[in-house]
Amino acid sequence: MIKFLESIGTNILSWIKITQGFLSLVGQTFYWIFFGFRKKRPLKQEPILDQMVFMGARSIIIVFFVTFFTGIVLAMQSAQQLSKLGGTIYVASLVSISICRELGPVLTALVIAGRIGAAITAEIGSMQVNEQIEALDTMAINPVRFLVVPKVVALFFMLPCLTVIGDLSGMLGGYIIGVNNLGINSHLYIQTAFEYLTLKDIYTGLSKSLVFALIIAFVGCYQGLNTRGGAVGVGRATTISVVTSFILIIVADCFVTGIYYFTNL
Amino acid sequence: MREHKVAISVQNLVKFFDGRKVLDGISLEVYQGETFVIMGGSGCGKSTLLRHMTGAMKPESGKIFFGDKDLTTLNSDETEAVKRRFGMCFQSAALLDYLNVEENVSLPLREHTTLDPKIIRILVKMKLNLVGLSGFENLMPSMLSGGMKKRVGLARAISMDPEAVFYDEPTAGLDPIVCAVVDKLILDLNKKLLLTSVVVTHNMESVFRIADRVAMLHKGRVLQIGTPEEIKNSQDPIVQQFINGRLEGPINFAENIDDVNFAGEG
Repeated sequence: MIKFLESIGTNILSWIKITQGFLSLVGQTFYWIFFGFRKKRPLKQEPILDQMVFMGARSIIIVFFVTFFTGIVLAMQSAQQLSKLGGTIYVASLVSISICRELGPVLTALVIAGRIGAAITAEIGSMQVNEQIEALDTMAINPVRFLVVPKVVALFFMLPCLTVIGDLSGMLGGYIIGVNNLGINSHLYIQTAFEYLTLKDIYTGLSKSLVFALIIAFVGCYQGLNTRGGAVGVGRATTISVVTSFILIIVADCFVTGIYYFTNL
Repeated sequence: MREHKVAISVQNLVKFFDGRKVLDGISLEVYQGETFVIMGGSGCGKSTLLRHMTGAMKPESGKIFFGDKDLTTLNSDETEAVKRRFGMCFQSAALLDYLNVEENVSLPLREHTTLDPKIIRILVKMKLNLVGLSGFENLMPSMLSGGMKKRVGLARAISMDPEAVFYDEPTAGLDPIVCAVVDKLILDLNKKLLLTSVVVTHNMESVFRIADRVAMLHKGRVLQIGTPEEIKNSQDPIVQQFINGRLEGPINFAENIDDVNFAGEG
């Protein structure tokens, strides 16, 4: 019994420690972003742009494929149901609204968590186990400012952009099914797709993607900086990073949706 | 010897790892301009000591003076200012592998100074010339051999013209000839740049080649400090066993197995 309580205790303690470490990383990062100039360390453009190219531009294709095919699947599935009600035309608005509000942001975030979150953790993690983080520290270069800040800032701006691309390609998938298979007139399809789509649907989705961007970047960096134990450690940290991001993205999605649902924002 | 000015002074340093005393009241002084070697078996706490001297770790108690600044009580800005006054050469060189040689060596200059890029280029060329790697500016670290990486690491360590350089196992994993090259480099740089060097190593040949003074660590304590001659003629059986690499002696094998475990944690 005492052993059981002890193990609960140590578990809680380690969770508190992880949360503390995570929040301290978040705090430090925001400090360097907003108050770095006070220490004559303003944000540098070049590393942020480098990260933006890597995170944003090079992820377009994979985001396109995932959301495009999801749009197709969504159109096919809903067409089957809606045709029973005689409302095949509403496939257009169903696809556009569910992609913009939900599937676009979430799928894009999950894809990016797999691609970029893993890359962030593996990169920082292998720097950690190869003494490179310590080397930065001894050179009086703050690792959070040098490594974490550009990644967080870059992803914060790139994930919404990728989400817009995801939204558009998802709707394109729906359009292809709607026009080619369901026989809806192209002009009518586009009109219906945008008729019921409000500005709120779009900013709901984009605001989610901002939250997801922070989750992916911070979880990735935190796991990377806390990597221990050589190559095995890097692998483990990368796995934990991706899994944690996935879970947190879904949970955060639920919360943000809840906020919009219950507060009528 | 005694009239030398003290550059780094460690006083009564104590450090615990998971309840184990890794550093057990270490006190030593490093004089300005000398090459001070810290040696000892695996897990004796020598790397941990070095990490305290560079400010990477905080001790449970004790003081570390770098000049007149106590590293253990400074806030982060002051620590940063002190860190710029020394360089560190890592066991694995610890070059950033997405940057080429020139970018690696110039990193501290780019981060801490407002020098013109052209001047930084010249400074980098000078430092690379000092370590015998002129013309390697555009190679990536992955293209370099172990010895070359160490020399680039050394060029980076001296890029800010430090007062002192710390070396963590500078000759580990290198063949005997490259070891000799690196040792000679350490001596040369000391002479040319008037550096204070602190070297952690367990390579005996290199100890006697480069050291002005040696400290022998054992189980988190300083066993003996002296010139290489004094160490060679030491009466202490542990020191004798260590420098001669004997199997029999006061340090027994079972103890070392223990030590290996916690060296991994450190």
